Amino acid sequence: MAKKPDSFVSYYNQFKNKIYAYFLYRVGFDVKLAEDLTSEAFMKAFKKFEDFDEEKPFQPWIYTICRNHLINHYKLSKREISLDGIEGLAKYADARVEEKFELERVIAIINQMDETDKEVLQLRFVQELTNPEIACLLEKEEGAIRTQISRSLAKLRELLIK
Amino acid sequence: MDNLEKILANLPKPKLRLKADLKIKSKLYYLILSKRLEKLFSQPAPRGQVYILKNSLAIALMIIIIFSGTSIYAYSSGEVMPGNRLYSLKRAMEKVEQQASITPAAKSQTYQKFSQRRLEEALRLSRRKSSGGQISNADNQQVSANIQKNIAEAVSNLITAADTAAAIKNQAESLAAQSRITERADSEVKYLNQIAAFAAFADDQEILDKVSDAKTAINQYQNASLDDNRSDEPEEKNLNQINNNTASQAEPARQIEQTRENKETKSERKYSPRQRREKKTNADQDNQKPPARIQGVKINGGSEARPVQTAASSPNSVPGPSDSRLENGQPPQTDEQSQPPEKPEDNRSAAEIAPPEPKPATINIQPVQEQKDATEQTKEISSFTGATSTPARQDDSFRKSDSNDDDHEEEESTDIAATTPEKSTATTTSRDREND
Repeated sequence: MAKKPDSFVSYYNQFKNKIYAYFLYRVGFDVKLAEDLTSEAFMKAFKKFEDFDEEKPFQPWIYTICRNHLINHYKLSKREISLDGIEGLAKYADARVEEKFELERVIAIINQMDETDKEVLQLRFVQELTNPEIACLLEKEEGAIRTQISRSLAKLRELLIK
Repeated sequence: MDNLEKILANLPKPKLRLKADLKIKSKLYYLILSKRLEKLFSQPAPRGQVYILKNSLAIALMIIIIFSGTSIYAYSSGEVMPGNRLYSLKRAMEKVEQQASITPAAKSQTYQKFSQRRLEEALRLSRRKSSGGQISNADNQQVSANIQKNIAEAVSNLITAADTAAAIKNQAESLAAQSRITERADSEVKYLNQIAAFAAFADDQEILDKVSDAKTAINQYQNASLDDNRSDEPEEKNLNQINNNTASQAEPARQIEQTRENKETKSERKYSPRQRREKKTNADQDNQKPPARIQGVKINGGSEARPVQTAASSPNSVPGPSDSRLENGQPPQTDEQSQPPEKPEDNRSAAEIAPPEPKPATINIQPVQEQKDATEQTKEISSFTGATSTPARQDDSFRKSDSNDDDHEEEESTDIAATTPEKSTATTTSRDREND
Protein backbone atom coordinates (compact mmCIF):
# COMPACT_ATOMS: atom_id res chain seq x y z
CA MET A 1 0.00 0.00 0.00
CA ALA A 2 1.45 3.30 -1.10
CA LYS A 3 1.86 5.86 1.68
CA LYS A 4 0.69 9.39 1.34
CA PRO A 5 3.56 11.89 1.57
CA ASP A 6 1.34 14.27 3.54
CA SER A 7 1.33 11.79 6.40
CA PHE A 8 5.05 12.36 6.86
CA VAL A 9 4.37 16.06 7.35
CA SER A 10 1.91 15.17 10.09
CA TYR A 11 4.53 12.96 11.72
CA TYR A 12 7.00 15.80 11.47
CA ASN A 13 4.61 18.17 13.22
CA GLN A 14 4.13 15.61 15.96
CA PHE A 15 7.82 14.85 16.65
CA LYS A 16 9.75 17.93 15.58
CA ASN A 17 10.18 19.37 19.09
CA LYS A 18 11.16 16.04 20.66
CA ILE A 19 13.78 15.38 18.01
CA TYR A 20 15.09 18.90 18.32
CA ALA A 21 15.43 18.49 22.09
CA TYR A 22 17.13 15.16 21.60
CA PHE A 23 19.76 16.70 19.33
CA LEU A 24 20.07 19.79 21.53
CA TYR A 25 20.95 17.73 24.60
CA ARG A 26 23.37 15.61 22.62
CA VAL A 27 25.30 18.40 20.91
CA GLY A 28 26.01 20.45 23.98
CA PHE A 29 22.96 22.71 23.59
CA ASP A 30 24.17 24.25 20.34
CA VAL A 31 20.87 25.55 18.99
CA LYS A 32 22.07 26.12 15.42
CA LEU A 33 23.65 22.69 15.18
CA ALA A 34 20.61 21.06 16.74
CA GLU A 35 18.35 22.73 14.15
CA ASP A 36 20.59 21.63 11.30
CA LEU A 37 20.72 18.07 12.64
CA THR A 38 16.94 18.02 13.07
CA SER A 39 16.46 19.16 9.49
CA GLU A 40 18.93 16.64 8.12
CA ALA A 41 17.42 13.85 10.16
CA PHE A 42 13.91 14.56 8.90
CA MET A 43 15.09 14.76 5.30
CA LYS A 44 16.75 11.42 5.70
CA ALA A 45 13.61 10.02 7.30
CA PHE A 46 11.47 11.29 4.42
CA LYS A 47 13.71 9.59 1.87
CA LYS A 48 13.40 6.34 3.86
CA PHE A 49 9.71 6.81 4.50
CA GLU A 50 8.88 4.46 1.63
CA ASP A 51 10.42 1.65 3.68
CA PHE A 52 8.57 2.53 6.84
CA ASP A 53 6.00 0.00 7.93
CA GLU A 54 2.91 1.95 8.99
CA GLU A 55 1.74 -0.87 11.21
CA LYS A 56 4.71 -0.22 13.50
CA PRO A 57 5.05 2.89 15.67
CA PHE A 58 6.74 5.89 14.09
CA GLN A 59 8.55 7.12 17.21
CA PRO A 60 11.20 4.36 17.51
CA TRP A 61 11.72 4.52 13.76
CA ILE A 62 12.45 8.26 13.74
CA TYR A 63 14.54 8.04 16.90
CA THR A 64 16.66 5.31 15.32
CA ILE A 65 17.27 7.52 12.29
CA CYS A 66 18.15 10.49 14.50
CA ARG A 67 20.50 8.43 16.65
CA ASN A 68 22.32 7.02 13.61
CA HIS A 69 22.54 10.50 12.14
CA LEU A 70 24.00 11.80 15.40
CA ILE A 71 26.57 8.98 15.52
CA ASN A 72 27.55 9.84 11.94
CA HIS A 73 27.82 13.46 12.94
CA TYR A 74 30.10 12.59 15.86
CA LYS A 75 32.24 10.44 13.65
CA LEU A 76 32.57 13.10 10.98
CA SER A 77 33.05 16.17 13.17
CA LYS A 78 34.95 14.58 16.06
CA ARG A 79 34.49 17.77 17.97
CA GLU A 80 34.13 18.16 21.64
CA ILE A 81 30.87 19.09 23.15
CA SER A 82 30.76 22.58 24.61
CA LEU A 83 28.38 23.49 27.38
CA ASP A 84 27.91 27.12 26.41
CA GLY A 85 24.23 26.71 25.69
CA ILE A 86 23.31 25.27 29.08
CA GLU A 87 22.77 28.69 30.65
CA GLY A 88 20.22 29.59 28.05
CA LEU A 89 18.58 26.19 28.21
CA ALA A 90 17.30 26.59 31.77
CA LYS A 91 14.87 29.30 30.69
CA TYR A 92 12.76 26.66 28.97
CA ALA A 93 12.10 24.91 32.28
CA ASP A 94 9.01 25.78 34.29
CA ALA A 95 10.79 26.25 37.59
CA ARG A 96 11.79 28.82 40.16
CA VAL A 97 15.18 30.58 40.13
CA GLU A 98 16.78 28.16 42.67
CA GLU A 99 15.45 25.19 40.80
CA LYS A 100 16.74 26.61 37.52
CA PHE A 101 20.17 26.92 39.04
CA GLU A 102 20.04 23.32 40.21
CA LEU A 103 18.79 22.20 36.75
CA GLU A 104 21.70 23.88 35.04
CA ARG A 105 24.05 22.07 37.35
CA VAL A 106 22.37 18.69 36.72
CA ILE A 107 22.50 19.26 32.93
CA ALA A 108 26.16 20.13 33.08
CA ILE A 109 26.93 16.97 35.06
CA ILE A 110 24.90 14.79 32.70
CA ASN A 111 26.83 16.21 29.75
CA GLN A 112 30.05 15.15 31.48
CA MET A 113 28.81 11.54 31.90
CA ASP A 114 29.34 8.68 29.44
CA GLU A 115 27.35 8.63 26.22
CA THR A 116 25.48 5.51 27.31
CA ASP A 117 24.38 7.02 30.65
CA LYS A 118 23.65 10.35 29.04
CA GLU A 119 21.54 8.77 26.34
CA VAL A 120 19.55 6.54 28.67
CA LEU A 121 18.86 9.37 31.13
CA GLN A 122 17.88 11.74 28.34
CA LEU A 123 15.59 9.25 26.67
CA ARG A 124 13.98 8.45 29.92
CA PHE A 125 13.61 11.87 31.50
CA VAL A 126 13.76 14.40 28.65
CA GLN A 127 12.16 12.46 25.83
CA GLU A 128 9.93 10.71 28.39
CA LEU A 129 10.16 7.39 26.63
CA THR A 130 9.10 4.24 28.43
CA ASN A 131 11.53 1.42 29.17
CA PRO A 132 10.17 -0.80 26.38
CA GLU A 133 10.50 2.13 23.90
CA ILE A 134 14.06 2.78 24.99
CA ALA A 135 14.76 -0.94 24.77
CA CYS A 136 13.34 -0.97 21.28
CA LEU A 137 15.32 2.08 20.26
CA LEU A 138 18.61 0.88 21.69
CA GLU A 139 17.85 -2.68 20.60
CA LYS A 140 18.29 -4.03 24.13
CA GLU A 141 16.23 -5.92 26.56
CA GLU A 142 13.81 -4.04 28.74
CA GLY A 143 15.47 -5.36 31.93
CA ALA A 144 18.87 -4.26 30.70
CA ILE A 145 17.50 -0.77 30.08
CA ARG A 146 15.98 -0.65 33.57
CA THR A 147 19.33 -1.67 35.11
CA GLN A 148 21.16 0.83 32.90
CA ILE A 149 18.89 3.66 34.02
CA SER A 150 19.34 2.83 37.72
CA ARG A 151 23.13 2.73 37.32
CA SER A 152 23.17 6.03 35.47
CA LEU A 153 21.08 7.68 38.18
CA ALA A 154 23.47 6.42 40.86
CA LYS A 155 26.41 7.89 38.95
CA LEU A 156 24.65 11.21 38.61
CA ARG A 157 23.85 11.32 42.31
CA GLU A 158 27.46 10.72 43.19
CA LEU A 159 28.55 13.48 40.88
CA LEU A 160 25.98 15.85 42.35
CA ILE A 161 27.15 15.13 45.93
CA LYS A 162 30.73 15.83 44.90
CA MET B 1 16.37 9.21 44.57
CA ASP B 2 12.88 10.50 44.34
CA ASN B 3 14.16 14.05 44.59
CA LEU B 4 16.61 13.49 41.75
CA GLU B 5 13.97 11.94 39.56
CA LYS B 6 11.76 14.95 40.20
CA ILE B 7 14.60 17.25 39.19
CA LEU B 8 15.24 15.19 36.06
CA ALA B 9 11.54 15.24 35.22
CA ASN B 10 11.73 19.03 35.27
CA LEU B 11 14.54 19.10 32.77
CA PRO B 12 13.73 21.67 30.04
CA LYS B 13 12.11 20.46 26.86
CA PRO B 14 12.99 23.14 24.26
CA LYS B 15 10.90 23.69 21.11
CA LEU B 16 12.04 24.20 17.58
CA ARG B 17 12.14 27.86 16.54
CA LEU B 18 9.58 28.99 14.01
CA LYS B 19 12.19 30.08 11.48
CA ALA B 20 13.89 26.67 11.61
CA ASP B 21 10.52 24.97 11.51
CA LEU B 22 9.49 26.82 8.31
CA LYS B 23 12.84 26.10 6.74
CA ILE B 24 12.51 22.37 7.39
CA LYS B 25 8.90 22.38 6.18
CA SER B 26 9.77 24.15 2.91
CA LYS B 27 12.52 21.60 2.33
CA LEU B 28 10.09 18.81 3.01
CA TYR B 29 7.48 20.19 0.61
CA TYR B 30 10.10 20.63 -2.07
CA LEU B 31 11.11 16.98 -1.62
CA ILE B 32 7.47 15.87 -1.73
CA LEU B 33 6.84 17.81 -4.95
CA SER B 34 9.95 16.57 -6.68
CA LYS B 35 9.11 13.01 -5.64
CA ARG B 36 5.61 13.35 -7.05
CA LEU B 37 6.90 14.74 -10.35
CA GLU B 38 9.46 11.98 -10.48
CA LYS B 39 6.72 9.45 -10.00
CA LEU B 40 4.58 11.16 -12.60
CA PHE B 41 7.17 11.03 -15.34
CA SER B 42 8.92 7.80 -14.42
CA GLN B 43 6.05 5.44 -13.80
CA PRO B 44 4.17 4.07 -16.78
CA ALA B 45 0.68 5.55 -16.96
CA PRO B 46 -2.38 4.67 -19.02
CA ARG B 47 -2.10 5.60 -22.70
CA GLY B 48 -4.53 8.53 -22.67
CA GLN B 49 -3.10 9.90 -19.45
CA VAL B 50 0.47 9.71 -20.79
CA TYR B 51 -0.61 11.51 -23.97
CA ILE B 52 -2.26 14.27 -22.00
CA LEU B 53 0.58 14.65 -19.49
CA LYS B 54 3.48 14.46 -21.90
CA ASN B 55 1.87 16.75 -24.42
CA SER B 56 0.14 19.03 -21.95
CA LEU B 57 2.45 21.91 -22.82
CA ALA B 58 1.95 21.41 -26.53
CA ILE B 59 -1.81 21.16 -26.05
CA ALA B 60 -1.85 24.34 -23.98
CA LEU B 61 0.19 26.14 -26.62
CA MET B 62 -2.10 24.89 -29.35
CA ILE B 63 -5.17 26.08 -27.47
CA ILE B 64 -3.60 29.49 -26.91
CA ILE B 65 -2.60 29.82 -30.57
CA ILE B 66 -5.99 28.70 -31.85
CA PHE B 67 -7.85 30.99 -29.48
CA SER B 68 -5.67 34.02 -30.20
CA GLY B 69 -5.78 33.38 -33.96
CA THR B 70 -9.54 33.06 -33.91
CA SER B 71 -9.82 36.20 -31.83
CA ILE B 72 -7.60 38.16 -34.19
CA TYR B 73 -9.54 36.91 -37.19
CA ALA B 74 -12.86 37.73 -35.56
CA TYR B 75 -11.68 41.17 -34.57
CA SER B 76 -10.06 42.22 -37.81
CA SER B 77 -12.17 40.48 -40.41
CA GLY B 78 -15.04 42.38 -41.95
CA GLU B 79 -16.71 39.09 -42.79
CA VAL B 80 -17.55 38.49 -39.13
CA MET B 81 -20.96 40.13 -38.95
CA PRO B 82 -24.05 39.83 -36.80
CA GLY B 83 -25.29 36.28 -37.13
CA ASN B 84 -21.79 34.89 -37.37
CA ARG B 85 -20.64 32.53 -34.61
CA LEU B 86 -17.50 34.54 -34.05
CA TYR B 87 -19.38 37.83 -33.77
CA SER B 88 -19.72 37.53 -30.00
CA LEU B 89 -15.96 37.02 -29.79
CA LYS B 90 -15.47 40.12 -31.92
CA ARG B 91 -17.69 42.15 -29.63
CA ALA B 92 -15.85 40.81 -26.60
CA MET B 93 -12.55 41.90 -28.12
CA GLU B 94 -14.01 45.31 -28.83
CA LYS B 95 -15.14 45.56 -25.23
CA VAL B 96 -11.63 44.78 -24.11
CA GLU B 97 -10.29 47.47 -26.43
CA GLN B 98 -12.86 49.91 -25.11
CA GLN B 99 -11.82 49.16 -21.55
CA ALA B 100 -8.17 49.44 -22.49
CA SER B 101 -8.55 52.97 -23.85
CA ILE B 102 -8.16 55.09 -20.75
CA THR B 103 -7.84 58.70 -21.87
CA PRO B 104 -10.94 60.52 -23.21
CA ALA B 105 -9.22 61.11 -26.57
CA ALA B 106 -8.53 57.41 -26.98
CA LYS B 107 -12.06 56.59 -25.88
CA SER B 108 -13.50 59.00 -28.42
CA GLN B 109 -11.40 57.48 -31.18
CA THR B 110 -12.43 53.97 -30.19
CA TYR B 111 -16.10 54.91 -30.27
CA GLN B 112 -15.65 56.49 -33.70
CA LYS B 113 -13.98 53.33 -34.97
CA PHE B 114 -16.76 51.14 -33.61
CA SER B 115 -19.39 53.42 -35.07
CA GLN B 116 -17.91 53.11 -38.55
CA ARG B 117 -17.46 49.38 -38.09
CA ARG B 118 -21.14 48.93 -37.25
CA LEU B 119 -22.12 50.81 -40.38
CA GLU B 120 -19.72 48.77 -42.51
CA GLU B 121 -21.29 45.63 -41.15
CA ALA B 122 -24.75 47.00 -41.84
CA LEU B 123 -23.73 47.83 -45.41
CA ARG B 124 -22.29 44.37 -45.97
CA LEU B 125 -25.44 42.81 -44.60
CA SER B 126 -27.54 45.01 -46.88
CA ARG B 127 -25.49 43.92 -49.87
CA ARG B 128 -25.89 40.29 -48.99
CA LYS B 129 -29.54 40.72 -48.38
CA SER B 130 -30.10 42.42 -51.69
CA SER B 131 -28.02 39.84 -53.55
CA GLY B 132 -29.78 37.04 -51.68
CA GLY B 133 -26.54 35.12 -51.33
CA GLN B 134 -25.93 32.96 -48.30
CA ILE B 135 -29.09 34.16 -46.64
CA SER B 136 -32.33 32.29 -46.85
CA ASN B 137 -35.68 34.01 -46.84
CA ALA B 138 -36.29 32.89 -43.27
CA ASP B 139 -33.22 34.80 -42.11
CA ASN B 140 -34.15 38.01 -43.92
CA GLN B 141 -36.07 39.40 -40.97
CA GLN B 142 -33.22 38.63 -38.64
CA VAL B 143 -30.78 40.30 -41.02
CA SER B 144 -32.86 43.44 -41.34
CA ALA B 145 -33.19 43.53 -37.55
CA ASN B 146 -29.42 43.26 -37.30
CA ILE B 147 -28.97 46.08 -39.81
CA GLN B 148 -31.29 48.31 -37.82
CA LYS B 149 -29.52 47.42 -34.62
CA ASN B 150 -26.17 48.19 -36.17
CA ILE B 151 -27.34 51.56 -37.47
CA ALA B 152 -28.70 52.52 -34.06
CA GLU B 153 -25.51 51.39 -32.41
CA ALA B 154 -23.38 53.32 -34.90
CA VAL B 155 -25.25 56.54 -34.19
CA SER B 156 -25.08 56.04 -30.44
CA ASN B 157 -21.36 55.30 -30.71
CA LEU B 158 -20.79 58.45 -32.73
CA ILE B 159 -22.71 60.56 -30.23
CA THR B 160 -20.80 58.99 -27.36
CA ALA B 161 -17.56 59.73 -29.19
CA ALA B 162 -18.66 63.35 -29.59
CA ASP B 163 -19.53 63.60 -25.91
CA THR B 164 -16.20 62.10 -24.94
CA ALA B 165 -14.38 64.47 -27.29
CA ALA B 166 -16.17 67.41 -25.71
CA ALA B 167 -15.05 66.19 -22.30
CA ILE B 168 -11.37 66.36 -23.24
CA LYS B 169 -9.71 68.96 -21.06
CA ASN B 170 -7.06 70.01 -23.55
CA GLN B 171 -8.91 72.38 -25.86
CA ALA B 172 -6.71 71.79 -28.90
CA GLU B 173 -7.10 68.03 -28.58
CA SER B 174 -10.82 68.39 -28.05
CA LEU B 175 -11.20 70.52 -31.20
CA ALA B 176 -9.11 68.08 -33.21
CA ALA B 177 -11.21 65.16 -31.98
CA GLN B 178 -14.42 67.02 -32.79
CA SER B 179 -13.22 67.82 -36.30
CA ARG B 180 -12.36 64.16 -36.78
CA ILE B 181 -15.85 63.24 -35.63
CA THR B 182 -17.36 65.68 -38.09
CA GLU B 183 -15.39 64.07 -40.90
CA ARG B 184 -16.46 60.68 -39.67
CA ALA B 185 -20.07 61.82 -39.59
CA ASP B 186 -19.82 62.84 -43.25
CA SER B 187 -18.46 59.45 -44.22
CA GLU B 188 -21.14 57.77 -42.14
CA VAL B 189 -23.83 59.70 -43.97
CA LYS B 190 -22.41 58.25 -47.20
CA TYR B 191 -22.63 54.77 -45.72
CA LEU B 192 -26.18 55.45 -44.65
CA ASN B 193 -27.04 56.60 -48.15
CA GLN B 194 -25.70 53.36 -49.58
CA ILE B 195 -27.63 51.35 -47.02
CA ALA B 196 -30.73 53.34 -47.86
CA ALA B 197 -30.20 52.58 -51.54
CA PHE B 198 -30.02 48.87 -50.82
CA ALA B 199 -33.04 49.11 -48.54
CA ALA B 200 -34.97 50.94 -51.24
CA PHE B 201 -33.99 48.24 -53.70
CA ALA B 202 -35.17 45.56 -51.28
CA ASP B 203 -38.22 47.69 -50.40
CA ASP B 204 -37.45 47.53 -46.68
CA GLN B 205 -39.29 50.46 -45.15
CA GLU B 206 -38.07 49.77 -41.63
CA ILE B 207 -34.44 50.16 -42.60
CA LEU B 208 -35.24 53.28 -44.57
CA ASP B 209 -36.92 54.78 -41.53
CA LYS B 210 -33.97 53.83 -39.39
CA VAL B 211 -31.55 55.36 -41.86
CA SER B 212 -33.52 58.59 -41.97
CA ASP B 213 -33.59 58.68 -38.17
CA ALA B 214 -29.84 58.15 -38.08
CA LYS B 215 -29.29 60.87 -40.64
CA THR B 216 -31.37 63.34 -38.70
CA ALA B 217 -29.45 62.50 -35.55
CA ILE B 218 -26.13 63.02 -37.32
CA ASN B 219 -27.37 66.24 -38.92
CA GLN B 220 -28.51 67.51 -35.54
CA TYR B 221 -25.09 66.79 -34.14
CA GLN B 222 -23.38 68.49 -37.08
CA ASN B 223 -25.61 71.54 -36.81
CA ALA B 224 -24.98 71.75 -33.09
CA SER B 225 -21.24 71.51 -33.62
CA LEU B 226 -21.39 74.14 -36.37
CA ASP B 227 -23.28 76.48 -34.07
CA ASP B 228 -20.68 75.94 -31.41
CA ASN B 229 -17.90 76.66 -33.86
CA ARG B 230 -19.58 79.83 -35.01
CA SER B 231 -19.97 81.06 -31.51
CA ASP B 232 -16.41 80.15 -30.72
CA GLU B 233 -14.66 81.61 -33.74
CA PRO B 234 -13.61 85.25 -33.46
CA GLU B 235 -14.60 86.23 -36.97
CA GLU B 236 -16.56 89.32 -36.09
CA LYS B 237 -13.53 91.43 -36.83
CA ASN B 238 -13.17 90.05 -40.32
CA LEU B 239 -16.86 90.42 -40.97
CA ASN B 240 -16.77 94.07 -39.95
CA GLN B 241 -13.82 94.66 -42.22
CA ILE B 242 -15.63 93.08 -45.15
CA ASN B 243 -18.73 95.17 -44.47
CA ASN B 244 -16.64 98.32 -44.38
CA ASN B 245 -15.01 97.40 -47.66
CA THR B 246 -18.32 96.80 -49.35
CA ALA B 247 -19.70 100.07 -47.97
CA SER B 248 -16.68 102.03 -49.16
CA GLN B 249 -16.95 100.40 -52.55
CA ALA B 250 -20.67 100.93 -52.72
CA GLU B 251 -20.38 104.68 -52.15
CA PRO B 252 -18.36 105.57 -55.26
CA ALA B 253 -20.29 103.03 -57.28
CA ARG B 254 -23.47 104.83 -56.35
CA GLN B 255 -21.94 108.12 -57.44
CA ILE B 256 -20.94 106.55 -60.74
CA GLU B 257 -24.45 105.32 -61.26
CA GLN B 258 -25.81 108.79 -60.57
CA THR B 259 -23.40 110.48 -62.97
CA ARG B 260 -24.23 107.93 -65.65
CA GLU B 261 -27.93 108.50 -65.22
CA ASN B 262 -27.42 112.27 -65.35
CA LYS B 263 -25.47 111.96 -68.55
CA GLU B 264 -28.11 109.76 -70.08
CA THR B 265 -30.86 112.18 -69.15
CA LYS B 266 -28.83 115.02 -70.60
CA SER B 267 -28.24 113.22 -73.86
CA GLU B 268 -31.85 112.05 -74.04
CA ARG B 269 -33.09 115.61 -73.78
CA LYS B 270 -31.32 116.36 -77.05
CA TYR B 271 -32.69 113.28 -78.82
CA SER B 272 -36.00 113.16 -80.66
CA PRO B 273 -38.59 110.72 -79.31
CA ARG B 274 -37.80 108.23 -82.07
CA GLN B 275 -34.10 108.49 -81.55
CA ARG B 276 -34.71 108.15 -77.88
CA ARG B 277 -36.67 104.97 -78.50
CA GLU B 278 -33.91 103.59 -80.68
CA LYS B 279 -31.33 104.54 -78.08
CA LYS B 280 -33.43 102.84 -75.47
CA THR B 281 -33.61 99.62 -77.44
CA ASN B 282 -29.84 99.77 -77.91
CA ALA B 283 -29.42 100.31 -74.21
CA ASP B 284 -31.71 97.39 -73.51
CA GLN B 285 -29.67 95.25 -75.80
CA ASP B 286 -26.55 96.44 -74.03
CA ASN B 287 -28.07 95.51 -70.71
CA GLN B 288 -28.92 92.09 -71.97
CA LYS B 289 -25.35 91.61 -73.16
CA PRO B 290 -22.52 90.77 -70.74
CA PRO B 291 -21.22 93.55 -68.51
CA ALA B 292 -19.09 96.22 -70.05
CA ARG B 293 -15.93 95.34 -68.25
CA ILE B 294 -16.14 91.69 -69.23
CA GLN B 295 -17.09 92.65 -72.78
CA GLY B 296 -14.17 94.96 -72.98
CA VAL B 297 -11.91 92.14 -71.99
CA LYS B 298 -13.43 89.91 -74.56
CA ILE B 299 -13.72 92.25 -77.47
CA ASN B 300 -10.55 94.20 -77.23
CA GLY B 301 -8.51 91.35 -75.88
CA GLY B 302 -5.15 92.40 -74.57
CA SER B 303 -5.56 96.16 -75.01
CA GLU B 304 -8.57 96.40 -72.70
CA ALA B 305 -7.67 93.55 -70.44
CA ARG B 306 -4.35 94.98 -69.56
CA PRO B 307 -5.42 97.78 -67.22
CA VAL B 308 -7.90 95.50 -65.53
CA GLN B 309 -5.32 92.86 -64.86
CA THR B 310 -2.73 95.33 -63.71
CA ALA B 311 -5.22 96.80 -61.31
CA ALA B 312 -6.18 93.36 -60.11
CA SER B 313 -2.61 92.28 -59.66
CA SER B 314 -2.06 94.98 -57.07
CA PRO B 315 -1.60 93.36 -53.68
CA ASN B 316 -4.12 95.59 -51.90
CA SER B 317 -6.92 94.72 -54.21
CA VAL B 318 -9.77 92.82 -52.59
CA PRO B 319 -11.34 90.51 -55.11
CA GLY B 320 -15.01 89.95 -54.52
CA PRO B 321 -18.38 90.02 -56.06
CA SER B 322 -19.43 93.30 -54.45
CA ASP B 323 -17.67 95.68 -56.84
CA SER B 324 -18.76 93.93 -60.03
CA ARG B 325 -22.29 93.75 -58.73
CA LEU B 326 -22.34 97.44 -57.97
CA GLU B 327 -20.74 98.49 -61.21
CA ASN B 328 -23.06 96.54 -63.42
CA GLY B 329 -26.14 96.93 -61.33
CA GLN B 330 -26.61 93.17 -61.47
CA PRO B 331 -25.94 90.29 -59.07
CA PRO B 332 -22.77 88.25 -59.61
CA GLN B 333 -24.78 85.25 -60.59
CA THR B 334 -26.23 87.04 -63.59
CA ASP B 335 -22.74 88.07 -64.58
CA GLU B 336 -21.72 84.49 -64.66
CA GLN B 337 -24.85 83.45 -66.46
CA SER B 338 -24.47 86.16 -69.06
CA GLN B 339 -20.89 85.24 -69.78
CA PRO B 340 -20.48 83.87 -73.28
CA PRO B 341 -19.44 80.25 -73.41
CA GLU B 342 -16.42 80.86 -75.69
CA LYS B 343 -13.99 82.02 -73.04
CA PRO B 344 -15.58 81.48 -69.69
CA GLU B 345 -12.35 81.15 -67.81
CA ASP B 346 -10.86 84.39 -69.03
CA ASN B 347 -14.01 86.34 -68.34
CA ARG B 348 -14.44 84.82 -64.94
CA SER B 349 -10.88 85.44 -63.97
CA ALA B 350 -11.08 88.99 -65.11
CA ALA B 351 -14.30 89.51 -63.26
CA GLU B 352 -13.02 87.84 -60.14
CA ILE B 353 -9.75 89.69 -60.04
CA ALA B 354 -11.39 93.05 -60.66
CA PRO B 355 -9.79 95.91 -58.72
CA PRO B 356 -11.57 97.25 -55.69
CA GLU B 357 -11.12 100.89 -56.61
CA PRO B 358 -14.24 101.99 -58.39
CA LYS B 359 -12.77 105.03 -60.21
CA PRO B 360 -10.37 103.33 -62.57
CA ALA B 361 -13.06 100.75 -63.17
CA THR B 362 -15.45 103.41 -64.44
CA ILE B 363 -12.74 104.79 -66.66
CA ASN B 364 -12.41 101.35 -68.10
CA ILE B 365 -16.08 100.72 -68.37
CA GLN B 366 -17.27 103.86 -70.03
CA PRO B 367 -14.83 103.90 -72.88
CA VAL B 368 -15.60 100.30 -73.58
CA GLN B 369 -19.28 101.01 -73.75
CA GLU B 370 -18.75 104.10 -75.78
CA GLN B 371 -16.30 102.40 -78.00
CA LYS B 372 -18.72 99.58 -78.54
CA ASP B 373 -21.39 102.03 -79.50
CA ALA B 374 -18.96 103.72 -81.80
CA THR B 375 -17.90 100.50 -83.48
CA GLU B 376 -21.51 99.52 -83.95
CA GLN B 377 -22.28 102.89 -85.39
CA THR B 378 -19.31 102.72 -87.74
CA LYS B 379 -20.46 99.31 -88.83
CA GLU B 380 -23.95 100.60 -89.43
CA ILE B 381 -22.63 103.61 -91.28
CA SER B 382 -20.42 101.49 -93.45
CA SER B 383 -23.38 99.25 -94.21
CA PHE B 384 -25.42 102.33 -94.92
CA THR B 385 -22.85 103.83 -97.26
CA GLY B 386 -21.97 100.56 -98.95
CA ALA B 387 -25.37 98.89 -99.22
CA THR B 388 -27.98 100.44 -101.50
CA SER B 389 -30.84 98.23 -100.43
CA THR B 390 -31.23 99.95 -97.02
CA PRO B 391 -34.31 102.20 -96.80
CA ALA B 392 -33.82 105.95 -96.99
CA ARG B 393 -35.89 106.59 -93.93
CA GLN B 394 -33.66 104.51 -91.87
CA ASP B 395 -30.70 106.30 -93.39
CA ASP B 396 -32.12 109.62 -92.32
CA SER B 397 -32.63 108.45 -88.89
CA PHE B 398 -29.10 107.14 -88.82
CA ARG B 399 -27.81 110.42 -90.04
CA LYS B 400 -29.74 112.32 -87.44
CA SER B 401 -28.82 109.96 -84.75
CA ASP B 402 -25.21 110.06 -85.84
CA SER B 403 -25.18 113.80 -85.83
CA ASN B 404 -26.82 113.79 -82.47
CA ASP B 405 -24.42 111.18 -81.30
CA ASP B 406 -21.61 113.28 -82.56
CA ASP B 407 -22.89 116.18 -80.57
CA HIS B 408 -23.19 113.95 -77.61
CA GLU B 409 -19.75 112.59 -78.19
CA GLU B 410 -18.31 116.03 -78.51
CA GLU B 411 -19.38 116.67 -74.99
CA GLU B 412 -17.55 113.66 -73.75
CA SER B 413 -14.74 113.71 -76.25
CA THR B 414 -12.25 115.09 -73.77
CA ASP B 415 -12.84 112.19 -71.38
CA ILE B 416 -12.80 109.56 -74.05
CA ALA B 417 -9.82 110.94 -75.90
CA ALA B 418 -7.91 110.98 -72.67
CA THR B 419 -8.69 107.35 -71.97
CA THR B 420 -8.89 105.60 -75.37
CA PRO B 421 -7.13 106.96 -78.41
CA GLU B 422 -8.66 104.18 -80.51
CA LYS B 423 -12.12 105.47 -79.70
CA SER B 424 -11.24 109.02 -80.77
CA THR B 425 -9.82 107.74 -84.02
CA ALA B 426 -13.00 105.74 -84.59
CA THR B 427 -15.17 108.79 -84.06
CA THR B 428 -13.03 110.91 -86.35
CA THR B 429 -13.23 108.33 -89.12
CA SER B 430 -17.01 108.17 -88.79
CA ARG B 431 -17.22 111.97 -88.87
CA ASP B 432 -15.02 112.13 -91.95
CA ARG B 433 -17.15 109.54 -93.68
CA GLU B 434 -20.25 111.48 -92.80
CA ASN B 435 -18.74 114.66 -94.14
CA ASP B 436 -17.82 112.87 -97.34
